[in-house]
Amino acid sequence: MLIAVAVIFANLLADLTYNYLDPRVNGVANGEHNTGPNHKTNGCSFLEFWQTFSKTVSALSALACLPVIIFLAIFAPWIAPYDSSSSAVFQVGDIYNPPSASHWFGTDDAGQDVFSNFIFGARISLIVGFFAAFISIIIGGVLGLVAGFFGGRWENFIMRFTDIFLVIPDLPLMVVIVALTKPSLLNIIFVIGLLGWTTTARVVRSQTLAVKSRKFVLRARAVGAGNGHIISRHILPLVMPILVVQAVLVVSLAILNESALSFIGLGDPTTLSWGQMLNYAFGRGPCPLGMVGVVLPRDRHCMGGVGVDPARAGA
Amino acid sequence: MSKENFLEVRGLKKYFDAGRPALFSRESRFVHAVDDVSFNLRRSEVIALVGESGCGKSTLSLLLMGLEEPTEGTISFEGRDITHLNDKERKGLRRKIQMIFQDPYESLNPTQTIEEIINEPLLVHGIAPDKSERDERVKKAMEDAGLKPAEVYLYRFPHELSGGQRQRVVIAAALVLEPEILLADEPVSMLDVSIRAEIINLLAELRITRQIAVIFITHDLGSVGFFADRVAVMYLGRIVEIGTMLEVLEKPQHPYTKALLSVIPVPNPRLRRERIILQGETPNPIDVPSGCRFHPRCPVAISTCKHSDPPSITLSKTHQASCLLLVK
Ligand SMILES: Nc1ncnc2c1ncn2[C@@H]1O[C@H](COP(=O)(O)OP(=O)(O)OP(=O)(O)O)[C@@H](O)[C@H]1O
Ligand SMILES: [Mg+2]
Repeated sequence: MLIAVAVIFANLLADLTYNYLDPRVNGVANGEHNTGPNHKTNGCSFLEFWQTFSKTVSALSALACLPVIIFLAIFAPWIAPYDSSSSAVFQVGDIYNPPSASHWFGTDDAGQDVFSNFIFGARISLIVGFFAAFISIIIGGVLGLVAGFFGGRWENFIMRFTDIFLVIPDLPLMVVIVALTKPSLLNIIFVIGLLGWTTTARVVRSQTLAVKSRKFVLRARAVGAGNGHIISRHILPLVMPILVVQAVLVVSLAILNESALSFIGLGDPTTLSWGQMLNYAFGRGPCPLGMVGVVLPRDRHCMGGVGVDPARAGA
Repeated sequence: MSKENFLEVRGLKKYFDAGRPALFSRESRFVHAVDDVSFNLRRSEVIALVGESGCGKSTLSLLLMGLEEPTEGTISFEGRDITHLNDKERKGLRRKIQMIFQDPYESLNPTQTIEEIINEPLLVHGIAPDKSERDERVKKAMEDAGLKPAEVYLYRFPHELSGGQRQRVVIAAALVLEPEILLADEPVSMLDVSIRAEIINLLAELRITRQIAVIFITHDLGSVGFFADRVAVMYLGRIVEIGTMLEVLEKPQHPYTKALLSVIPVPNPRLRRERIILQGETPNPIDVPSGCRFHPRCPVAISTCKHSDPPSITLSKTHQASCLLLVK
C-alpha cells in the first residue's frame, strides 16, 4: 500500500508544480502582449506557488513523504530491523506471520521481515526510477531542444519520430524487450529510460519554441551571440524549471513501470524491488496485510493519472 | 572615405510571405513590410524615422542589423556591401552597429543579472579577456547609460528595475561594444512620459560624447524634433519625405507629413494650425493601393494619384518628397 501512497504523493507533487508553472508557461507564450510594469517575476510567483502549496494538505504530506522514502533508501541497512539479504535459518513458525511488534508488516513465505524488505526495496525502486528517468530526461531534453530551437526539417523529423514512440504502448513493448533480453537491473533501466522520453521531448520543444520567440533572444543575436551561447545562456535557464518538473514525473513513471515489470515476473531476479515483493506475494500465497488487493487498483489508477497529467499540462 | 557613404541603403525591400489567400489559389501573397527604401546616414548623424504603427519601421531596423534577410536592395557600410554576409563577417559588424529594442520589459533575460547582461557582448566577442578590464568597460557603459553608481545595479535582476532603468541596461549592453551606429527602435514608446525625455536626452548626449550615429525610430514626430539632424517620414513601407529637421518640421511638403504635424499638440494656441484628420485606416500592407500608396487617405489627392506612383522629387539639396502635386 505504501508504494501506492508514495506514487500518489509523487504525482500530486508533480501536479502542483505543474500548476505553479502553468501561468508562467503561458506568460512565456504570450510574453509579447504581457507587458507593462507589473510583469510577473520569478521571485513573486514562487511565493505565490508556496502560498497555494502550503494550504494544500495532500501536497504538504507529499512533500514530507518524498524525503522520507529517499532517506529510507539511503540508510536502509541502519533502519531495517532485519537483514533482508541473509538466508538465515528459520522455522516453520516464522512464515506468514501476521504483523506484530517484532515484525511490523509480518513475514513472508521465506520467513523474512516484510518491513525490512520494503525498506530495501525502496533502494532498487529508486535506483531504477532515477537512472531510467535520467536517461529519459537527457534524450527527451536534447531532442526537444534541438527540434524547438533549430526547427525546419530537423523538427519535423524529430517530432514524427516522437509521435511514433508516443503511440507505441510502452508497457507491452517493455515486456517484450525485457522478455527477449536478460531481465537484469541494467536492462530494465535502459528499457524504461529509452521508452520514456516522449512527453519530455514534446514539453521541452514547446517551451523552447516559446522562449525562442522572446525578444531577449533576438537581442542576444543582435549582440553577436551564436546558437551555442543562446541555447546555454538564454534557452536552457528558462526550460530548466519545466525539465525539473518533468523529471519528477518521469521518476514516478519509471518506478511504476519497474514495479509493473517486476510484478509480472520480468524483474531482475537477484534484486528485491517493490514490484518484486508484490510478485512474490501474489505468486507464492497469501499476502500479509492483503497488500495485493489494496495496491493493484490504486496502481492502475495512478498509471492513468501519470499518463494524463503531462499530456494535459503539456498541450 | 567620404562622409556620404558611411551607411548607404539602396532600394531595400522586405516582403514577408503571407500565405495563399485561399486554399487552392496559385499565387501566394506578400506583406510589403519595407518596399523600396533608400537613404544614407552620415557619421555621427541622427536621423529620426517617423511613421505610424505597422509601416515597417521595426522591419527596416532588423534588415539593417542583418537579423532579417532583405528581399531586394543593398546596404553598404563604409563602402562595403553588407547586404549578405556569412556568420563570421556579420559578427564582426555587430561591434559597429548595435540596436535598442522597442520593449525593455521583454528584451532582457529574466534569469540573468544586469552584470551578466552587459558583460555578455564582451564575452561573445572575446573583447577584453582580462576580467578586471571587462568589469571596467561594463562599469563605464553603465555610467554612460545613466546607471549611476554602477555597483548598485550590477547584481540585480531585470525585474528589480523600473522600465526606464531596464531601457538604460539595454542601452549599456549596446554601448559596451562601442558601436558607431545605434538603431533605436522606439526606445521610449513603452515608457512613462516623464522618463521618455530622460532617455532621449541620454541618446542626444551619447551622440555628442561618443560620436555615435543614431537612427531614432518613433511614431511620435513631436518627441524627436530637437535632437534629430534629419527626419524621414515613412508610410506603408516607403519613405515619403526626407529632409533636415527644419525642412520637414517647418516646411513639410508631403500631405502625410502635414497631417502628422498638424496633430502634434502645440503649447501656444496662436501657433496652432488647422488639424488634418486622415480619413480611413492604414491600408493593409498586403494589398498596397495602386498609384500613390497614400491616395486613399490623402485629403488633396487628384485623379492621377490613383494610377501613377509618384517619384521622389528633389525640393532642395537635402529635401525630397514623393508626391505628384510637387511635380512642376
Ligand atoms: N515576421 C513577419 N512575418 C510576417 N509579417 C511581418 C513580420 N514582421 C512584420 N510583419 C508585418 O510587416 C509590417 C510592418 O511591421 P513592423 O513591425 O516593421 O511595423 P512597425 O512600423 O515597427 O510598427 P510598430 O510601430 O507597431 O512597431 C506589419 O504589417 C507586420 O504585420
Ligand atoms: Mg516596431
